[in-house]
Amino acid sequence: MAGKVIALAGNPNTGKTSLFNALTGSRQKVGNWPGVTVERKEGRLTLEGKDVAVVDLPGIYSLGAASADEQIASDYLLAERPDLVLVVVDASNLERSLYLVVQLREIGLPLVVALNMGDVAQARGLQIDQKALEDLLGVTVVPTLAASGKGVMALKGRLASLLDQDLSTEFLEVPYGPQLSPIVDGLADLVGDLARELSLPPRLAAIRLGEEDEAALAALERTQAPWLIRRELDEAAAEVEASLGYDLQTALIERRWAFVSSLAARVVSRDKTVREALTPSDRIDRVVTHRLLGLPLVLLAAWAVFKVTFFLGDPAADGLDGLLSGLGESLAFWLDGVGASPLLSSFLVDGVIGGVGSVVVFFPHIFFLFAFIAVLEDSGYMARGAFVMDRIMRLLGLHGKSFMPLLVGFGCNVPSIMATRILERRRDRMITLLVLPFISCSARLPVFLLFAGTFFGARAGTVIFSLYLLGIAVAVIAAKILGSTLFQGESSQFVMELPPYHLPRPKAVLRSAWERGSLFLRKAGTFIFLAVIVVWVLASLPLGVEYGSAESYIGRLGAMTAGFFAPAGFGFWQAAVALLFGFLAKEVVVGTLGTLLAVDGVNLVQVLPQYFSPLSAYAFMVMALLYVPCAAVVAAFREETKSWRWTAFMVLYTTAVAWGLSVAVYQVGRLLGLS
Amino acid sequence: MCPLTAAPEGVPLQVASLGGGGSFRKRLADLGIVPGATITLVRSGAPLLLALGESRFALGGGMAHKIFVLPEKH
Repeated sequence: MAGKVIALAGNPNTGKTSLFNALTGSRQKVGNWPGVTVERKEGRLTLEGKDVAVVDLPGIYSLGAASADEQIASDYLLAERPDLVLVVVDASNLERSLYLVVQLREIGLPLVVALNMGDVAQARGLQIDQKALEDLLGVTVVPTLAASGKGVMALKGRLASLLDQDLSTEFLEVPYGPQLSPIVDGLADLVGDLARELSLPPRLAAIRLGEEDEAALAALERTQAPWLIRRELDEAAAEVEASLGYDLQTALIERRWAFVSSLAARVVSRDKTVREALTPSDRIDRVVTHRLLGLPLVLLAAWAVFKVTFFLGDPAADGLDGLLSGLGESLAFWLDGVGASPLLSSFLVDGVIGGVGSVVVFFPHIFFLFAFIAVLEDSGYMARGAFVMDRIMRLLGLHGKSFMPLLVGFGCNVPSIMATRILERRRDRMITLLVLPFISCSARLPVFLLFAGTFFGARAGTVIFSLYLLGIAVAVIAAKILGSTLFQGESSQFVMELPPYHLPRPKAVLRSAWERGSLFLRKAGTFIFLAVIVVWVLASLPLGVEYGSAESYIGRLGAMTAGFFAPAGFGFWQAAVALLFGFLAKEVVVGTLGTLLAVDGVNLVQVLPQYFSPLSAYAFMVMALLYVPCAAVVAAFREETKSWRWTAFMVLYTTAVAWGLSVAVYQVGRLLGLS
Repeated sequence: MCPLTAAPEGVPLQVASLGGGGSFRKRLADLGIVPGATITLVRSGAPLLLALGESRFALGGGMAHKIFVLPEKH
């Protein structure tokens, strides 16, 4: 039994993730980022003292290639042929779940069915004849309540005994009816080569062809005489079209559904007295998806998530920050006492502790944000929110679900970059990821407050508001351009199941928040830490220079790049260095300018007008708003895209946009006679 | 027969046919939206909300244009 593999399959929202967690506990390996994505999760399960691997497949409704999820799950099930497939089935919506079960049995995979959510089914007056289900499908059925862990022990027992047996491959025959069966049989006689290529019986190869399965069509091209079979297929399709009024593909799927319905009718009995006209979910949906109320409710929910995340996250982050700077100070004091060199002291305090600090201060916000996202997802509301927002977001070339990360971006871009994983489609996700850095996060506010306060006096509020609007406008335009150039394709044509509402489970919520938070620390943390160290080295070397001064490497780099910023009106080295330091965190721009400009006890607000005019101050704010986001965002971006090329693209294009716009502001302003 | 976008809310409808390309039809058919299936429009518009058995689906406007329905016969 050791070394065997169980694949976990099932429709979305059937409690598959809960069952996976209940089976494997903490013994999980995430090949990629976890969550509602197409990445692969693998866990280990000990059955009778032996180790068995459990592969969690993405939630799918059927075998096919209609979406990336389906593609991955189908390829895995068809090509890798796991030793056993555990299919999670929603007892309260059995017919829908059974379609996948029938498809898997049709291609002869050995199955165990976890009949989940029996409590919900019972509450709705549904009784399921487990024995009949086992007999009709030739599978083992084990009732489970994955959310509470009930039935998991029994399930493990069945899995153990089944893995010990030699599981012979039997194919469930789906009756395709008097019209289609002869056509299928006729095709089956011709597709021997294809069947060998797909390692399926000829009849199944014929059915997959008829269903226009892409893998089957591709395999067909590798056989001897594909044209012959294509001609036969076209004739069959024409025949079906003439007699039924629709195509062969639809006809095959329709027959399979008819079979599934007849199965469901034989195993499910309904207590008529419990039957309600409208389920509680439907009643909530009447309000939540209401034409007028829907939008304010989404905004309210999003605003609440935003507020509470920062309400809880800010003090926690401040606490961590205070703790670490206290630690740094004591360390510096102690190092001073034992006579350590200032360079070592600076390395440990500014470099190491500062570096760790700039990573961990994000943890509280990420943790709380993902806890709230998990609440919204687990309760079923996220799907409704996306439904309501879809119309507006589609105007921008985005998906309804993009709304959540974009909103969170106003607080901090890092958790919002990670929140894009609620988007299933790569196109929607990439566009959202690429426009997110333009959304003005709270770290940019100190820069705006300083400059707007210094140069615009009573109109500071309006100026800051205009920068927020500029960020949104740039994001919207960038989304439109990216959607029609690099990421063409149908825009957010979505089909999405709205799962019934249920109360979110605290355990699942905390687990999800912790998983995502700790992964951020491990993965993005390394990169951020390195970035901090690199900046420290540049600011401290060559030996003997003052930290971040004109003689340091970063100062020289600033002098070299100052000319680049001259057309935007701030071509002096201190501004360039402040922007370079801003890569650590954008609020650092303020602190750096303070160190470099406000020397000899002069207030920064007093010196700034010597360097900036109101016009170049505005251009500088435009720059600070749009140029490359901080190291943490870049690290999170790289983790989410898994691509250095896209990361480099993001860094370059945001900086190009920032430079172009700040130069435009300065030059156009001058033409208009502003200063 | 009319596209789903023009169908009335709250009455049982029978799917008559599906338009569009092969992968589009397969996506809908795999969800159970096949000729002969009974669906109810819970909320019209784009996207729209429909009920199919115990499930509720949100569907983009472009997709709804290609699903043709008839009032269900009694």
